[in-house]
Amino acid sequence: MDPKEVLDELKTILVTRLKFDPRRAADMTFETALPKGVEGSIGLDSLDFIELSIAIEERFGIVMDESQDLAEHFQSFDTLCGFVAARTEAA
Amino acid sequence: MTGSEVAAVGVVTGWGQSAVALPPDAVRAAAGRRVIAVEPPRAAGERFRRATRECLLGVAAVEALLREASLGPEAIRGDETALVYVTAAAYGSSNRAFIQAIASSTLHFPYTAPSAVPAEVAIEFGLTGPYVILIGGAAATIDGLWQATLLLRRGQCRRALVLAVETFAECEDLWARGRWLVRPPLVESAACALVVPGPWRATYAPAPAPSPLEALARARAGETLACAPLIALALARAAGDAGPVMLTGEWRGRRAGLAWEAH
Amino acid sequence: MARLRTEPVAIVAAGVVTPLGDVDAFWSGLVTGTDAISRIERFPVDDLRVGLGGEIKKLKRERRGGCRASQLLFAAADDLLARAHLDAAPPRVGVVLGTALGGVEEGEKALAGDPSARRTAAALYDGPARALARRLGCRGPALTVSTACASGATSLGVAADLLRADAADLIVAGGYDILCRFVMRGFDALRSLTRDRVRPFDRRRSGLLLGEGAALVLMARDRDARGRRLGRLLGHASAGDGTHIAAPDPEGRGLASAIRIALAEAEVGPDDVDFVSAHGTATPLNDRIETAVLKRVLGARAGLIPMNSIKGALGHTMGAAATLEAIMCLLASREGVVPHTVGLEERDPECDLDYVTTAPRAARPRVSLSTSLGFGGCNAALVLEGDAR
Repeated sequence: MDPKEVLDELKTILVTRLKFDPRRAADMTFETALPKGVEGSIGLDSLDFIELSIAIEERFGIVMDESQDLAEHFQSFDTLCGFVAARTEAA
Repeated sequence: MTGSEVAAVGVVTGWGQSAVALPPDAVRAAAGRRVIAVEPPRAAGERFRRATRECLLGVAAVEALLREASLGPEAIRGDETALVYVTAAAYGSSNRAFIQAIASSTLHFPYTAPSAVPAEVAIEFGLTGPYVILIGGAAATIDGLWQATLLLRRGQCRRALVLAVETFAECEDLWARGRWLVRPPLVESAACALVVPGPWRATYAPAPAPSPLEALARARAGETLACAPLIALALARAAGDAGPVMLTGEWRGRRAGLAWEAH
Repeated sequence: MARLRTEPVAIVAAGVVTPLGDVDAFWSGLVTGTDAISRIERFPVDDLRVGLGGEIKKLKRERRGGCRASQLLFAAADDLLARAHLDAAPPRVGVVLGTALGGVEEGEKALAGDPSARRTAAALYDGPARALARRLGCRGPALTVSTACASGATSLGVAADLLRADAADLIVAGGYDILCRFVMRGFDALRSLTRDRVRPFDRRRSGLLLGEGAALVLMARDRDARGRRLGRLLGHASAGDGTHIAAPDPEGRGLASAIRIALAEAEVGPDDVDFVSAHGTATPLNDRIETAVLKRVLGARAGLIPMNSIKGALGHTMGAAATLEAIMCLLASREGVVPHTVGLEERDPECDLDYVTTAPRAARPRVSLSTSLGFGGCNAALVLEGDAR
């Protein structure tokens, strides 16, 4: 999958699983930061990241290794799309 | 001062905002409807995107209270405000959604706990004082109001919010099975009383019969379970009586009473 | 704020049902370091990432198809009544129970096809407490508290209030919760369960496991309690975090507040604390935050106080946990032994308090502090005194 397709899928997950407003999701871009506490971010906290990880596993058929610290991949849509695209290619 | 008094009460029900919106006769006004659902509270932004309906109602009740009391949220923020929450079954809809996989699991599971409603209220208003959560109907609310007076008397807080929330719509079919438990109309409600140090002495004891206010709240509001004693308080105040009152509440065979008297 | 003196309340006796057994088996299991975690058998877990828990394998007088939570309570009550009597008039005997889940398994059955009114009503969270009150013939106040995993502490505090206010002469207080599909699915979804073992305060800790149980104590005003007692509840306090729906406050401010207020109510200072029963769920977050709070509140002496968590042995029994831990504190006083923290093998530098490990330690704490944290920012602290007599 190319990163733009991944972004669209992630936006769908944000609406259906994380309960974001669809109009808000539509405005999100690759540059949008994810974690709470980062300026301009969409404010995801630990609970959101668990839900998001599970949704990504289910939607993209990849497995997240819990023993690894994956925080760097969840900084923005850019890093997350890259992570997902690389994992789906590998899988 | 070791007594207490009720400073204000905020009420939201399926009949509308505040006690003045209650019809003269709930059964007649219901016109055969079993459940009177409350209008969804105003969309409160992304902060509440995960919160359940009952959490939003809890917040709405506190907002109604602040309006009634002409107070801003800073008046209750901090560790000097106790939060006592009572419900018979507001956790029902979130539990059902989780059991039947209607709601996605990770985000939803913490909201199945009865503690979710006071948690969202505590987060919204910055409440970090004492915390009690009681499960039961109107009798449990009497227990909760009495707990509030104790917390004040022991100096563990400067004010106490006694909050009750009940929802029925998502579990209407289940409530229909328990016809012997509740008398329709089931009226979704959220209510919050502000109890502060004052001159009234509170006596807590079993009550042999419903107080006039208990009967009035039932007649005007319908079946509101844990919200009933707080709605009763609001009705008394709406009629111009903000003085010490006798409150009773019944749930499944136990009727508790809290008699406030001028000291 | 002006404060009224708090009258001490006696904890006369205890009765429990746990994965280790009744009170005697619970205690001997703790001091022998028994691991009561096993593969869950009562309901399907194959679709879940973790299928282990502190399951009670066999109940005496089990009634098939009945409400399991009530049955656990009845078993605990049988254990209690073998050790103490309810010698007060029925209207003067109350019940105050804490639970995180109430009758939720009955709700699962009601939605799975049992349309009976009785089953549906049993799903209400105060159902089991009412069932226990009926079983014991108690006609005094019957309350259910639900402050998530702090419930078993809150219930003891509320019971003490009822006694001090003369609303009852005796209270059967405590907490319970069962292992069921609902809670296993829930914690599975939160990814909170460990796929290793439960290792409170251990460097390698990776989460909790759940357990089930019911723990009851018989409480009376201290001045009314005649003869031998297990100990006294000197103080109780609760405080909310106001930060997150599930995670604790990163600074543990609510817990710190609850501890300070409980100590003040008990009229003891940090220097009087001889033992701490920690919440110690073995999640990376809880154990770190709890350690930091204990250091902050107990001061320079914190490192000298023996502490433990018993969740490695039993799992996290949710509503029963805080009551079980209170009972353990009082038994430690009576027996002169502090149980060790099963599962703790490699110390975490960030959890560098004296968490008793490897083997139980000879010690006779007089004053114990028990801490609990629950979903929604519920924090509770109990200050207990062992019976010196």
